[in-house]
Amino acid sequence: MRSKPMFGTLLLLTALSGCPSGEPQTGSSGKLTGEVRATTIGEIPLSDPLSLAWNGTPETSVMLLPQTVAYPNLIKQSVKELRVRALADAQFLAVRLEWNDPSLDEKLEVDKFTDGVAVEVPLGDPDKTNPMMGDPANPVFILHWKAAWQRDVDRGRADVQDYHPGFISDRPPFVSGGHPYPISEAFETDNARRYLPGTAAGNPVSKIFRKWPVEELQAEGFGSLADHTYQDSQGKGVWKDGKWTVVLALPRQSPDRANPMFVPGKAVMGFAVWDGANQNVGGRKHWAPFVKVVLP
Amino acid sequence: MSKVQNIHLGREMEYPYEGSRPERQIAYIFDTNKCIECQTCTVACKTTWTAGKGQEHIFYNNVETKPYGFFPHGWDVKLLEMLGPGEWQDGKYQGKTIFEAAPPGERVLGYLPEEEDYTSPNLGEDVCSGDVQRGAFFQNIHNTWMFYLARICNHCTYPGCLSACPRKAIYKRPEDGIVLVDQSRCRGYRECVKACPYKKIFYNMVTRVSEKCIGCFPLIEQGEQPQCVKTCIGKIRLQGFLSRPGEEKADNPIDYLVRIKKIALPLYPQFGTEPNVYYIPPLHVPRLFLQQMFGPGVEEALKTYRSAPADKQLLAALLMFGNTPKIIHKFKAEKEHAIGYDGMSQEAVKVPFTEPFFARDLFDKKHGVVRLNIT
Repeated sequence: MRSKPMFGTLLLLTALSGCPSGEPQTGSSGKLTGEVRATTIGEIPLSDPLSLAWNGTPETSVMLLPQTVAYPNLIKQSVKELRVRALADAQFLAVRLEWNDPSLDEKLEVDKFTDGVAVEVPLGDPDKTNPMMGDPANPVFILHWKAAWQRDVDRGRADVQDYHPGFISDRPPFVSGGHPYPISEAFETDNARRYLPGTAAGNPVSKIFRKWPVEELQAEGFGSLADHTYQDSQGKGVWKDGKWTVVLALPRQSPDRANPMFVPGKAVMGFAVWDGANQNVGGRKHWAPFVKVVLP
Repeated sequence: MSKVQNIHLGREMEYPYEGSRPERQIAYIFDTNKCIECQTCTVACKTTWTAGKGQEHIFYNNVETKPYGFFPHGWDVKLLEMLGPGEWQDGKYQGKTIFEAAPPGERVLGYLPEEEDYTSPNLGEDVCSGDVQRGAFFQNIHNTWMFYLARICNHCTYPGCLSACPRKAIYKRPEDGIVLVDQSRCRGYRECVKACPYKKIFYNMVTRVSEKCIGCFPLIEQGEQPQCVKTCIGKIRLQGFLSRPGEEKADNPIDYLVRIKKIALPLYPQFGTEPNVYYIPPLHVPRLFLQQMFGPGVEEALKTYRSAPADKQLLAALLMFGNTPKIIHKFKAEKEHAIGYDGMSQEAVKVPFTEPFFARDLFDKKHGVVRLNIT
């Protein structure tokens, strides 16, 4: 049973949050609110979200809303605003996303959830695309960053001994080496990985090695999220002074035909933010409908 | 929400999906009176399926002591508290199920256990309901009591986990009703962990997705009972298939014991998931506690259980427990034996109603030693 999207609500929310066809506005803070304007630069500082180079492009304030269209809903809103800047160079179109978050949540355990952010781009006609994960006729591209993945990339894949230093267990079947049997070293054979079921099944969430803290995905409705076979986007996030600053970069010329093509004058982007401390995960997220992106 | 028929509640209830019963439903009967909490089932399951890293806390099968044993900690009392009291009238449940009591924005009423709730798999082991007073002696129902509750996934007819998964990564097999998590589709949202009222779905921090009992389906597909059933040294377990309601067969031991004799009862039927592990309740425990745990059929079930020695058909069905690794599809009582048949109608087991008795001389002349006859 698929929940029916509430288009009436969407229209209202779209009107509140800045619609792609609307004129850009300037909020009380002097920031843009109706569109994201990308500025050209020689080389985007992809590995440094805090680089001063980002100050040379205008900041847009995007109002976030709790997701209440599909089950399960986000009941408690904890992030209200996302600040967006965009830069473009010959290789990438990148957005820098900044939001206030008093806690750094990068741990994944049964009751621990990761902070995260994502951008969504229509793969077809933006005017026909449902900003809530698209639909079969009008799918969307999603670039997702998670704090837990950033931790994997920065400091190595989080393992049992990282979160439970005193843990003791029998030797898992078919592993090599000794206790604590690091998953990045001891589980090299197919037989050993059979006891990591998600990994053995090829689930991208269960990947042991991760080059980038981002994942390219595609969706055509609620619950349809699927990862791209070819991953060529990049990203980097930094948590400092109670706020996250994350850069997400999409290649402008990609051999991957599943990636979006930005058409000048029709480019839009949607956003979502997850607050791990408040158990945000999946559909329990903050979101913003499509905002116009002005390409350089 | 759709309306589905819940046979445990004696009424229709709300459920997020249309009702669709499998061709036949995997089902188990556990006799709590015979369990000695040796944990052989737990170890058999653990070594077979969850010996990997990240699975240290994952027990598809566990045996806990009631009333104070839990895994994860407090799993049932926490949900009972959230659900509130519910009355039964003439076999019909008047309260709300976890689906009907779902808060706004949720499909199921549930809670997410904390990391610490998994740290003591056998917390409360052998803890009694109270102190044994000096001079106390055992009567029919004990003043001070405990019993062992063996637990696995209930492969529910209306699974809470399945209904809560926003990705539809959990499915119920139409051929046997086994509930599985698609390990390639799960994204580790843990909505299922929150929704399962029995907390028999676990998050793996290494693979970052959720896992659950798979009903040993590779064995089931070969006509064999699951590891936890086959290895049970107390012979407390029987696995087979339940027919659809109204299509019960008197020679199917599971149909016979669950639906015809009603000797085995579902665990917390008020949750509303129509669980398919059925328990023969313990004889010596206060009835109010048992009624909260197994529903209104407790008194009748125990009365029938006590009548087994004089009821050859019932005894024959009970003798199917733990005597063969094969799944028993049919059984019958003959003069001296109970006979079980596998899915090909071949005789799989023949159990005497009375075990042969041998008495040996106390002194073994051949070896020159005194014998100890222990059984």
